[in-house]
Amino acid sequence: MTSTDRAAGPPRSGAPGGAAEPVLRVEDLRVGFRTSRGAITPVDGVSLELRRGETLGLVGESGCGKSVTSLSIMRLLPRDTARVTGGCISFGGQDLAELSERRMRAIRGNRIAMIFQEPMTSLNPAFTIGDQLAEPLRRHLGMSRAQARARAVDALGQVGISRPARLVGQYPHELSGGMRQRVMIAMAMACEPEVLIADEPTTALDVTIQAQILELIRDLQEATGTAVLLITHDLGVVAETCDRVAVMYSGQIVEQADVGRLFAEPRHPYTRGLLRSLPAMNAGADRLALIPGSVPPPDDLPPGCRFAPRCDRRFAGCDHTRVPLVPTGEDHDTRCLLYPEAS
Amino acid sequence: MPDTTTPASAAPGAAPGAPAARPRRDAGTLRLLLRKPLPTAGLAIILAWTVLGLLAPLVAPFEPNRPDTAIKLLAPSAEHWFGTDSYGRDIFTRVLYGARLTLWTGLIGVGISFAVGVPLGAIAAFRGGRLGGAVMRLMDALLAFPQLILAMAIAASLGPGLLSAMIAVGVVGIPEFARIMYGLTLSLKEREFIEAGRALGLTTPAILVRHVFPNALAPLLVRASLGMGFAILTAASLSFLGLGVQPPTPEWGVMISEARGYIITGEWWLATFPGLAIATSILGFNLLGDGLRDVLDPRLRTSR
Repeated sequence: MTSTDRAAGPPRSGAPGGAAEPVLRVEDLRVGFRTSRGAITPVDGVSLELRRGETLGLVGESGCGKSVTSLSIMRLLPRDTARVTGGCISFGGQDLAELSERRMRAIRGNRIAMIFQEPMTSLNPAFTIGDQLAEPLRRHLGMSRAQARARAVDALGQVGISRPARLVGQYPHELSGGMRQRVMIAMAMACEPEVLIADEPTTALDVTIQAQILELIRDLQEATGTAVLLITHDLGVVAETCDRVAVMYSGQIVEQADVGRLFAEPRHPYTRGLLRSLPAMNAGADRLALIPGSVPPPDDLPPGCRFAPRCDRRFAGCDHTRVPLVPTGEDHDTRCLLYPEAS
Repeated sequence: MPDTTTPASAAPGAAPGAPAARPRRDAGTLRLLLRKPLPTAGLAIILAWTVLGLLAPLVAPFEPNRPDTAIKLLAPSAEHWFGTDSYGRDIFTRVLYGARLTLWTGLIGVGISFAVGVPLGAIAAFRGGRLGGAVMRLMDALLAFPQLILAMAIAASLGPGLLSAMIAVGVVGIPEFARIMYGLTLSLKEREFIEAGRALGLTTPAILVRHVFPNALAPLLVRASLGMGFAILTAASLSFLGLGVQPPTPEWGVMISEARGYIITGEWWLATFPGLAIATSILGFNLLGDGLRDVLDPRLRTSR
């Protein structure tokens, strides 16, 4: 937790010892939305822990509550329709819900930063790259215009942009998607945040650029000790970058484990389905496996296990009991009746 | 006082309320604008009226207000290019002096509309809810009045005069700007860079000023330029009706008002030249506004 262990690499597997104290802890988070069709709960009891220097993957299909979870952490949910109805988000030992809006603003972009999915639209078209990069520096670090500009050039160099001095004077529309995402990362990392939330940072980019961007995030993370919450629907990305994974389905975490363990022995039928549906280079199958059916609508959830209607291993008990998320192995939690709590 | 008009205040980049844009961008916009003939013509007309108005005391051949009944109602000639009016005042001189008043009224009027309408629209859209609804319904109510009637009512209630005319013109223009800004802000606030700005820890006012306003500036400038034409016409109409600038001040609306009795008796020049002055200045602003609309698209802008 001190600056001396900055150089230490991220703990690849649940590292024992001092690093275990989480920077960010989400406990039993519930978020309610008011919609024209009544109240829904897109996030229903999500708990996460993010330790210093580690990357946690939050995986799930669209609408499962990944992004709502991340916006709740930033306290950026749309105020008029969404509300955190339960649970607690603590950052550095502090309950974020208790902070004033002013103190929360001092954390956003400074100690918790965020990268968005769409690099093409996340930059303001009316300002140059340099102006936009300078914004968090001036706001949070109180730099002068000249200092911020010099720092912006450095930051662009750090994210692997050649000729950064030229780029600071350019407008976003003159840059490619990959370049813009690098700029977004430079902006997010400018204040060396303790937590970086990356919401599908590579979804809009083509595959070669994806790999570069992921590598860049990993490099910066190793240099700064930032904890990364990587939100994605892409298990390939997870395998490549994450230390731990939480799989979300319909507003709940259904399985959470160390990345190696999750890929080696997935337990929850949903996770298994996801892994089966990954295209594999060496497999001869000409059709990818599918998970039948679709996600239940949030205003009409099954009373028991939410995945039950689509599950190939469903039995009578699945439809009636609410299934809890329980530890089913060492550093491995599963929300499935097939896997009873390990003692 | 109208005399304090500065050359910059009629330049296109300095529409009222606009922040000082950086020279680089101005140069780019201007360069693009000057590639098109019609906006160039519009700009030339506006510049010509601005210069002529400013230099009126130097350029004008006669005193604008000294009556000389010996030379009244002279037809246009080499000496009196636009003829003389019923008091023997030189119409060319009075048209030149009128230019500065007219431009000044337009600028202040549009400035009021812009300075009040834009923040109202932005806040209404950003806050939404009951407050936003109330503001925009008020704007709708203002729009429901015929604009000239509303301007007359306001000017009459404030008492005739230059300032009342400016305020009346300004208030009548507020809802237009509010509605444009409302629509722009509604669409802009859903853009990701606004959310990214929030994620960087910016306050709502900072987001409005730094991220919403600059992206709304282009359509607002277009509206401001077109609004100048409307403001000039409305101000002249108010003066014509006796609710604005009062005689004997050389103002185009006043001049037409004084001339209206002579149109049927054959002294056509009394009303024609101030009328042409109004028409050309409005044409100038409309041509410029149309040109700006094409040019002020951020996608056409580059850093070089």
